[in-house]
Amino acid sequence: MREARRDWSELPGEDLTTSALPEVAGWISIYEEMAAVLRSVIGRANGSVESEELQRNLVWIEGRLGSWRDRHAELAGVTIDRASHTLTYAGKSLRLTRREADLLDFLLRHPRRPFTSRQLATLAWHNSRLSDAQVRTYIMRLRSRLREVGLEEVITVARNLGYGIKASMGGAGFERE
Amino acid sequence: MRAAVAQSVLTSRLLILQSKRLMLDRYQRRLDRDEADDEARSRVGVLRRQTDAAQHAYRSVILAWGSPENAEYWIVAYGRLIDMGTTLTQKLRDAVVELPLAERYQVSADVESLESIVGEWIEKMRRSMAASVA
Repeated sequence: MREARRDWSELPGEDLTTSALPEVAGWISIYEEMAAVLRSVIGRANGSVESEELQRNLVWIEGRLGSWRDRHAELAGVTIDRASHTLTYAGKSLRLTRREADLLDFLLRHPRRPFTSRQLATLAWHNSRLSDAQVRTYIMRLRSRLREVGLEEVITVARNLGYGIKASMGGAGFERE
Repeated sequence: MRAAVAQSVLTSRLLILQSKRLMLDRYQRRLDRDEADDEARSRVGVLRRQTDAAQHAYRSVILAWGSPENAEYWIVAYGRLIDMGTTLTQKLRDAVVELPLAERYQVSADVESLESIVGEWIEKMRRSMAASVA
């Protein structure tokens, strides 16, 4: 997608900086839902001709999902270097721990959805043994770290639903605790 | 054991859906006879929402518990995919004129590919429907 962007140049009156953040977040939600249904159907009908064809559809959808997730993070203005665990926002850099970087990256790439502590442990860190209290501690610590670059409110909490990303970052704008 | 549980869940959801449809039909007929019947109008509104919810629940159960050897499973699966694909295509198409060029290019490509995929799903759903009545 970044290559395609270089192929285009701004036309007179065209605003290439227009933020498509909410739209992109909405598309990501539907792509995610389609991918989930496809995975479920493929899992049920494993080995059939239908499942092979659906597998090709799933590969395409997951490819687009990945691209739009990257673009979403780009539009949100937050860059996370996964190798160095460094966050860049509004010209400021912040070195995070691996767990903090993985958590923030995961939330930014899955806008408009709240995740429970258990889901975050499994999906963001691939560690189902972390307790709810441990995840809560990581969230609190990450929020405190993000204050250093002016992003302290980016992680929101929805009662009985879990943690998500703030509406201005393309998230659902969950009610805060 | 799993098959028996699946059948029970499917049957119960289907019964709920059918009973909601019957109640909706009854109140709809009452409203058709007397358009000034406010109670019937109110019940029709509520029952329509409940029928939609029951339909959604039944389809979800078919996806989770139904057998892929059954044509109905594929009708529901493709129906769900077609609904989502169509919604997404429409959203992308609506947004395209407002977007900067970089997104516009990507979104147009997505719309084209999605339309082709949804077209395949529609064709497969038709085949499943034909198989279910054969």
